[in-house]
Amino acid sequence: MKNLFLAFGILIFVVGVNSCDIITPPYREEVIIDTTVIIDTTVPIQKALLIDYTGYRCGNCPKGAEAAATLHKNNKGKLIVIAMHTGRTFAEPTGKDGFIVDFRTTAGEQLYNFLGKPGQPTGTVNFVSNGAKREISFTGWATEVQKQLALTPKMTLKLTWTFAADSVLNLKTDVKYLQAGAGQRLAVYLVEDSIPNAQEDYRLTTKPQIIPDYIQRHVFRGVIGGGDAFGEAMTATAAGGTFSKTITYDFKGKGFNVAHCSVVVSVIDDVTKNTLQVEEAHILK
Amino acid sequence: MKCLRLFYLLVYCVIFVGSASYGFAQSDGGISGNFQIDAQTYKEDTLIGAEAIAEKMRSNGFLNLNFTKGAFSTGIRYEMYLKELNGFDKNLGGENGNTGITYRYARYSTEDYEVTVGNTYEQFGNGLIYRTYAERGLGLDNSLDGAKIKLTPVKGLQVIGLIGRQRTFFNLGAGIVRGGDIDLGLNDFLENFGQGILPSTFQLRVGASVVSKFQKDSDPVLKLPENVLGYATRMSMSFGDFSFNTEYAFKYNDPSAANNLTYNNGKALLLSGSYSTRGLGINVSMKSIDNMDFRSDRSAILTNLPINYLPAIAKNYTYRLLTLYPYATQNNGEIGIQGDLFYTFEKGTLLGGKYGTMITLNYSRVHGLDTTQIDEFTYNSEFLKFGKRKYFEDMGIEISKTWSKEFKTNIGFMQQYFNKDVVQTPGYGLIKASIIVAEIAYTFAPKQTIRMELQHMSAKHLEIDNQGNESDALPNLDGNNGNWMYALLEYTLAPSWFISAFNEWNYGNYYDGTKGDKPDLRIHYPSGNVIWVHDALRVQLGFGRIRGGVLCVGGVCRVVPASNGFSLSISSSF
Repeated sequence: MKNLFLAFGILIFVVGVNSCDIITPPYREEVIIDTTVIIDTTVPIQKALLIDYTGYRCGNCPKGAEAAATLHKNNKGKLIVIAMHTGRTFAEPTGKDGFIVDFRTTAGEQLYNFLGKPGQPTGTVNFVSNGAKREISFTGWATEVQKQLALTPKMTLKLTWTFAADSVLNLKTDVKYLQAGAGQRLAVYLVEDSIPNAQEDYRLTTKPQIIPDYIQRHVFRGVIGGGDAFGEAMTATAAGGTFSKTITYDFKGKGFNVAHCSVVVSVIDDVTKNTLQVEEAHILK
Repeated sequence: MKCLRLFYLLVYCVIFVGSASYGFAQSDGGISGNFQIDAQTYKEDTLIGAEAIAEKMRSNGFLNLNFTKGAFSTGIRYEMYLKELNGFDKNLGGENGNTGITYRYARYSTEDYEVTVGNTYEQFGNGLIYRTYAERGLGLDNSLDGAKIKLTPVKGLQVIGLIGRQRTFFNLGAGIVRGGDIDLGLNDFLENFGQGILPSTFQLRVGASVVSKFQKDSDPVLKLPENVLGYATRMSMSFGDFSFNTEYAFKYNDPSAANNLTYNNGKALLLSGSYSTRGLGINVSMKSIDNMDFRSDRSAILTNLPINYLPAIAKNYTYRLLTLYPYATQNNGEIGIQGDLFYTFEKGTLLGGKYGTMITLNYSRVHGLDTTQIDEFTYNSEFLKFGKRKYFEDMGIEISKTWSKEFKTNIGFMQQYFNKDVVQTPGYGLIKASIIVAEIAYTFAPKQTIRMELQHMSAKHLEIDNQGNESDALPNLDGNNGNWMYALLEYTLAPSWFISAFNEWNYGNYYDGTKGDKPDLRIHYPSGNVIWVHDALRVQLGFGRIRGGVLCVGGVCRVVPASNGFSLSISSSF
């Protein structure tokens, strides 16, 4: 009994004395970004889709956007980021203070509702679920992104497009299957980058905590390939086979800055809703 | 997972059968437990914001089963969320509903020590650095799955050590929690050395605890502490009619989603005192907390994976309209005070009358801490100073009087200041509310009582900036705003039947059909309940429109969406 008590006291002492890491500045890791990374398209590469559920009236969301930007930079060519302004609380326009434009979309709301309207900022990485939960707080994105990028790709995507002078985008997607696939969907999203618009930011110490000319990155503009947020069903394809689909989209009258627009194409498992592969094409680049 | 559940069941069958056959101790074994099932039907009601629920009916339920034989005890809890009732965390029910054994333990307990393996609940002191508990109304259960040892080496001294991972819905959290606590009851302890060393009217208890969590740092951008340590010291004493309790807690750098990745250390101080004598009771308390959100997963938020508990410093009301604007503890920083006074005018006096009259006064006030940002990850704060921003204020008076054996009344008047901008949703300004309540109970026949409640809330919504400056401009408003009335009528046929009907009317809602794009929201919320109690069995059937709101228990809150439909609750214990 006395020995047990002694062992126990030692355990508590060890916990108390040793179980703490005190971090001193700088708090950021010294990340060396390899700017010479070349994506070798002849070798299948698994890519990942990070959707940042955000809102321009969400004062904590710039931290999420910043985390997404860092991950995007550190995983150049492999991670695709979309910012979906969703929900009434943080994305509904108020008609004042620069919150005029409604960045919400039908498909964005569909996904946000599907998640159960979680608190923002939050995100999904390839829409994978950890237990019952798909949404991940921005502090957990990096871990999940690394996990997803480490998976063996089941397919590759090839995007071929033309953008005609009459503002019509013609996009062909070829999904080459590295192993047989069935029960999948193809979703084509439109994303507009670098939109100056007001953003609440609680890191500001003075009121109003609003940055009037904040640059909204990777803003989701909707589904342009048919179907809902999970796209349209694909036909089952054997290993080595290719599924192709062509879509057209007319930018006329939409008010989007085509120079900043890109198309994100993803293949989704119809049952799990997980993103299996994703690719992005910058329309004018 | 299913294999694991099957394994657990098999293990328990073996333990139960084995214990029944051979016995662990001399006494006979006994089984005890309790269960509850709550079901609700959902009908879409766009006017009140009640969403269409695909399943039409949902249900939460649980069964606790405990077996005790001598010094040995074991137990399990089966839970089901088919799917989770609307408003509970969606991870409980998942996409298709969840069922399973979420809690199981085996314990051996003697006078000197207690060893538990499996899931355990525990609280160190006031819980400032460690509290695992289950609060079913919130869907919160942060039990620790691991091992716990409790030692009592000498009378008056107790030492606890534990290690494990916390429950998160139907899984375990990412972090490992280790902790220890030592508690010394000085009066009992000194009795080991002789009687009467301390006077019996003086009681002194001191304690200290330490908790550490480990979670791997896989963040490529930030340097995160993998081991985070917290500690606390406490003291409680009573002398005659006075008592005093205090605890101070400290936590080292713990950047997380809940604290917006700050590397500041956390601290908390709790002070409370009371005086009680015949007819008079006074309680005062004070709390200051700075960056004390402590979780075993740095990405967890809301009611998921808390390690500690920061007690609320606002009165918990049961009157319906007073639950409209409940205060939620701001774990990232707040300072507050609370005081209660109870006084009973004695029987036979002018104000006491034949049966006595009790008057209750309450005041609470919570402010933020003033902070100055140093850099992106750290800030300076003034820990024990009331900041400029007031978060909450509540003052009230209640007078309770028994006029005769058959007739009792309770009346009250309360005023509340609720900074919704901070406590709930940014942009929704400040609410100043005045509430009056009147309750009458009349026993008109043996075992038959009629009780009536009438309540009124007058609420004003204002803009407020982050310096605490108010303006008359109208902030954003949600569906519930403005003035309310409430009436309840309840008939009791003791001891088995309780029948009640009530209506809430948001007659002063800003949206009267002519403003904005919203319809007329001056809505009635009629509801009714029938409760039948027989021995330990309780059955409750309800129907009606229930307004949306926020439910708080001890300063921890969850959103309750509006609903329209039937509800059924069955519970019992054995």
